[in-house]
Amino acid sequence: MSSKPQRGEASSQVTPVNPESPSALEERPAWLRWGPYLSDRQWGTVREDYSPGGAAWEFFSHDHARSRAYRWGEDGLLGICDDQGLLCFGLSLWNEADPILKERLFGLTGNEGNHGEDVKEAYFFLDNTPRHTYMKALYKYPQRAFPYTDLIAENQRRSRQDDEYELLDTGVFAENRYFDVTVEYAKSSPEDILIRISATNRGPDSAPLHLLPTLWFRNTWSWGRDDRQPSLKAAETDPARGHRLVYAHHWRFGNYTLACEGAPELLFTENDTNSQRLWNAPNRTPYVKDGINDAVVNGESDKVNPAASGTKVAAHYALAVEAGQTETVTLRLSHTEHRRPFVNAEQIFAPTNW
Amino acid sequence: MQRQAYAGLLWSKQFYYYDVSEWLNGDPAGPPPPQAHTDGRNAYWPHLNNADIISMPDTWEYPWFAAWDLAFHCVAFSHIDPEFAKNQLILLLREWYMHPNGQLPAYEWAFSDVNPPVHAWAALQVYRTEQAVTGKADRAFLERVFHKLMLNFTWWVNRKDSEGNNIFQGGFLGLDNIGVFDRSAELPTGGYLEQSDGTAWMGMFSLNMMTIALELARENVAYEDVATKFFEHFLYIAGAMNDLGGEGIDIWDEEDGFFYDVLLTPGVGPRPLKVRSLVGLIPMLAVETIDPELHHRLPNFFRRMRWFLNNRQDLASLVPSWEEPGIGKHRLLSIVPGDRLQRLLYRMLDTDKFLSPHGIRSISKSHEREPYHLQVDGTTYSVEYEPAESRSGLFGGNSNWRGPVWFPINALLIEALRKFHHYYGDQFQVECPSGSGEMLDLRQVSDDLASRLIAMFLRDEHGRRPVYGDNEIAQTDPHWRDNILFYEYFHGDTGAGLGASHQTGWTALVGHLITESAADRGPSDGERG
Repeated sequence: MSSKPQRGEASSQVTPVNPESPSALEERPAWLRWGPYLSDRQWGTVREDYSPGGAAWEFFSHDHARSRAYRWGEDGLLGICDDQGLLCFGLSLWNEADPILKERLFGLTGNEGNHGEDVKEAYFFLDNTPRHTYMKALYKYPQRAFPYTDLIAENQRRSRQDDEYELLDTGVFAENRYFDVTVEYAKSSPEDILIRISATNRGPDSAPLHLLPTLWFRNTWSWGRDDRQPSLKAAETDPARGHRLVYAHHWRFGNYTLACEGAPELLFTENDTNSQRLWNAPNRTPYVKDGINDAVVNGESDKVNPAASGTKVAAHYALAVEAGQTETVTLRLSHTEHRRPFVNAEQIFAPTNW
Repeated sequence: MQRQAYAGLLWSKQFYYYDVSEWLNGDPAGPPPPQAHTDGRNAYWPHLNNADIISMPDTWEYPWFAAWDLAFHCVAFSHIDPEFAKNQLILLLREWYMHPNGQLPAYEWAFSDVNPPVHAWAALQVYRTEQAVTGKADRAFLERVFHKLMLNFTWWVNRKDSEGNNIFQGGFLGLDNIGVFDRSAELPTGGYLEQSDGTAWMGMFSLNMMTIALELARENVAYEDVATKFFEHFLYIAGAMNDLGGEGIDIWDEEDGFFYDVLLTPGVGPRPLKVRSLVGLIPMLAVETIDPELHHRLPNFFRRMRWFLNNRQDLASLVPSWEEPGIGKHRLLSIVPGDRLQRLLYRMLDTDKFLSPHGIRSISKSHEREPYHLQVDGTTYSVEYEPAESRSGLFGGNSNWRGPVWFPINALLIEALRKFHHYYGDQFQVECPSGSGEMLDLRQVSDDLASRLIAMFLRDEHGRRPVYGDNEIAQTDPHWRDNILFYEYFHGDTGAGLGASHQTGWTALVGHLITESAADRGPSDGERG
């Protein structure tokens, strides 16, 4: 039995929420401040659509998503955020075969699929508690290049009379050449979250895997309504301590710290639109939303900020996972800084603590 | 399996942010949006200003709230976090969601679309589940919901009963392509459609409101006469559905023993559209029983009721059960009298018609051999049984209500059968499946349906999960086979998952069915199959 106060209990602690939103006057339990609130898809929604004809799927495409700042929300892979969607955490992956990072789930738009919109990924929600004190999900990431164009082309070719062409049909998982990537979150307190990412190579050979746990702020500063900008900064840390730190500061809720186990390279950029890529227009900021993608996938190291600050950061773990083996990385996102953030990690992940 | 269903339900919470006024008019930093945007979609909803955590149907395929889906999510949530379920139901009724005229926002593609009015039903479910689990009756919650739903009810009556005859329209009502035409659009024939389901949903809404009012009246007499209001409104609707007004708009077809939508075209007589679909079964959902104990607590309600029934013998004949107390002296209110119920169930429980191995189909399999055709001005409109993905482009072709099994309606049917059983008891038996010679009471029928739905996700005797159909990797690979997906809808013959693959919104109702089936199976009826 844990000697700590019962986790996830209805609590008298109440956290203030966005003073600008009409729900601001409502009280919410502190344990619900953080949860799996990050969407799987923000592109292709009505909210992001400003076209004259209301063509929401086409106005903001999956191809734009990695380069273009969202106005009304964020998305990511098996991620979490606070209850105003201001500070977001998600997973990003690269297998050295894909043309882009796997930052978000891919799928066909309402007009691309032969039976309308459809996600074309393999992922599973395995566990979650009502106060989100423990959460677990699984993503199956192919080692071969993800069949983006094949999925679009084949489904376009098929008619309404045919079945849908699914990811498993493409053969990308043949010989089990994929990683089972499991993400687990466990709260030590309402604003102190342990994060464990485990990648198991199900294939017959050793395979490269870049794990890029990513922390970023929703863009609230580019719309001419409120110019105040939050910030992410690398902390000077002694490598002997066995982790690296990112400080997150937001004018609304103060500081958070992301501790990253080991000595990953920290890649910083801004959650701002790459207008150059999309519309051949000048960028508002020198570093842009797809900077980390370009630095990792194309080796363009000048696309991330050497000053180690920004509004989006990834901790870069370049791994080689042996056949049948599992590599694990642990992080901790918390309101207060811990001197030894991982010392009691096992205890916090234990089911008795949920 | 239940753990994964609830995990998916919890994972599908999402921060949802949408300020329609700002969105219509654009931001100071950007170029002004095109006029067609500012005057276009959702321009009628400028008050809508959302920045909340909301339970989503599927955070990839439907990463936006959908009013009627959400009501079902709350029923599933009530078993694991009743506080959250109550807050979600209240949220949608707040001033920054509900339209000033009382309409609930449907979903961001078109907030003005009309979904079935299931909010009151969900509120009652959540209230009762919490009461059963925690012993706490949250009357303040029920009262808050009730006041707002009065506005919503009035919106329905004023907007969707175009002839003032207690027969309702409502458009597609969540059932996408179930009809002969797109029920949201102008009819190709002109005129309009008197809808069996629209009217039945309003009957159910009235009964749910009456029940809430009776519950609140236990401690506050102010609710007694509003309970009467909904009782009488229910009877008007039930009367209209059974053509007591004699206007010739008979939604019930005596020959077929089924309810149909009726097409009213100028210059032509009323034409029933004889598609055997859920539209004809939904009238069963309008059912409520009244506890005899209330008789002593609320004498005025019952006095008024007796007066009304004495003075409106035409309507009283519709609720004969009123005069014949059932098991434990319960009273029954239902649109469907006992003999019609028998006939509907005979069709519903026929494996060649509605009853699939894994639940009730959205349309009868009889339309496989006998498609329904309607000729209008040289064009033929058809409805065929399509058990898998939609073969037509209606509603984007993304969802299919022409054969597959859907959780929300199945869960409602199961609950309705349990209410009928509450009144009729074990004596009222039907053949299940029809023609099998096996006689079951309605509680047993509801259990049978629930177990068919639950079995979709469980390994069968061959170790295969029906939900994964002929997908060999998902069926057999040890790293796949126990990770379960909760789809949007299911193949009408095989139970294979279709549509959105992570719809642990309303398909998480399977968790609710498991809990309810386990909880209600008391020791006394433990020997029931």
